[in-house]
Amino acid sequence: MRNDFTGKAVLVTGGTMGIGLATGLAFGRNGAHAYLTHSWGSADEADVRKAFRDAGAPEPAIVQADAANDDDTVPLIERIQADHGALEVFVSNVSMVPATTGIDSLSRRALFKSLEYCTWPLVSYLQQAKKILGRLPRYAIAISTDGVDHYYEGYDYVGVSKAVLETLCRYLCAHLEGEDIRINAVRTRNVITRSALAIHGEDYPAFVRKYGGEPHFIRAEEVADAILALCSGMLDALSGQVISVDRGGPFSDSLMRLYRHREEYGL
Amino acid sequence: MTTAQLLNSSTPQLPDAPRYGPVRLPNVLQGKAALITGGTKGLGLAIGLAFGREGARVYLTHKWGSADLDAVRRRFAEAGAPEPRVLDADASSDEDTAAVLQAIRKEQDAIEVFVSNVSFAQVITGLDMYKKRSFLSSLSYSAWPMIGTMQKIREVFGRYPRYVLATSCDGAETYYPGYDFVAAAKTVMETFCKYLTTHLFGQDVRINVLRSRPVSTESLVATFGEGFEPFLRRYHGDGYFISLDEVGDAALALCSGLLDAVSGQVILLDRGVAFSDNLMRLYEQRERRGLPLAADAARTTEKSGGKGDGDQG
Repeated sequence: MRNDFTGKAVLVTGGTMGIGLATGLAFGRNGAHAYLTHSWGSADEADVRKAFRDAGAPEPAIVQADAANDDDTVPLIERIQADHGALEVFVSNVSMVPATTGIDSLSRRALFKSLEYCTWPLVSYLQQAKKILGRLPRYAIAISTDGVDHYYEGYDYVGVSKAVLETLCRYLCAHLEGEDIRINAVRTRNVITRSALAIHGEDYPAFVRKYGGEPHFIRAEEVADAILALCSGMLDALSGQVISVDRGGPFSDSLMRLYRHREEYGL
Repeated sequence: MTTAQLLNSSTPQLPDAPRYGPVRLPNVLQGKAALITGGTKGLGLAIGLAFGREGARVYLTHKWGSADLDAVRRRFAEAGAPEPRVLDADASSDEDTAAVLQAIRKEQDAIEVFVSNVSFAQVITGLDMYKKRSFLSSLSYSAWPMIGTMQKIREVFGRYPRYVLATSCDGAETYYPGYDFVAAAKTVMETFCKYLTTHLFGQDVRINVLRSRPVSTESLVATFGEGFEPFLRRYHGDGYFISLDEVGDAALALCSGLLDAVSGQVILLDRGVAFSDNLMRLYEQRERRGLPLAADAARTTEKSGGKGDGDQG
């Protein structure tokens, strides 16, 4: 059975750029009414609207909302209640952390801030949806990263807060057993977006291209399609899982692989 | 006006929006070949039907000739799917695999989807039953066919299938009585899934494993006996089981084009049930499930003034 998203509400936090925007478009192309939040005021609304028009998607609602602030979440969900009376899909995508440079750069305050932005919105949005709409969305997706299991420079808070996010996915799923909701996390890596460049540095893509190759990059659209698949109806028996959208790249991303290709790479 | 109404007034109403229909699949399977081993019953048949519904040319193998082929064809017809080809083959036999592929080659230039589904292993009831020969035979039936068939498809068609999917279970991580050799064989297959993905990295091939928790099938009864299913329903509930159609749909999703960046993964289809399948959950639900402790009984007795047996279930 496949879902028809015509006229259904899909909420994507951090939805005006990168993976969030691609996700909104993937649902929009299938008729959904996308609610895209942003908080930095950096979104070029005209560009976002044009992308939806070009994709043949209904015009999205672009809403300024700080994912960590319930005062912003409540009116947003009330608006969805007024427009649609229900929320079909919630994608918790916002991620905002301070970069780290070593053990001395870590602080409890920064850790809590990271958890507030990367982890807790999954819980608070679902709570508010239940309270205001009277029921949970049928699908909840948490965007995670393989930085939970793999070291990325400067990525401490992302790794930690996404690990908590994935654990909460499993617990929420156990609490909500028998209800019409599926909760899954999507892990990805090397999606070159503005926020990735801000954390990894501008030269990282060139380095991956040289010593890894093009398949090591994942396009935001590929992640978006995977999220659409998880909410398509075809995977309704899948819940409480962490799905990696990474072409299987991390399995071989090691010195052993570089050693094998050392001549090709001039090492 | 409420906040919601105020906000709503600025929202453009969707004017008679066109209906977009069910989620569109980027990979159109119409007319493409899908080969499913062990495809005339249970999971294999459900997966075959899911592809058939999309108009794929479905090739099903089976070994024992025990399948009612008229019933299989009827299922496809009822699903509005093209009639499947059913081919006799022992999944552990290289000659049989070669013959199946030669037969498909006469009708098809490529195999789009290969689903390695056959699994066959001795049920183990104790350490004394471990025999190397039967262990290796389990690998021949339940692990090697994924690799052997991929190699042979490359030889016969000049390229690998675009989607390889192997069916598995979570027996490698969770104890199932009697399941030793099945679990061992699936572990081998799942590890190869990751290695093969690495070997074929960057090519137009995805290899994934779909694990499902108990699905009510003939082979479930054969492995665990008649009482297993009612027991699970009593102590967990109907949500414990995954339906065959759900497995078929999940297999289709992995080959739909929407999940093309997913490869080398082992995906568990279980509604999240495995996470909470433990004594702690039963303890929490002990009254409802009729599993009271002596202490519970004593407390109930106190409360009800010396009557009652404490079983609230």
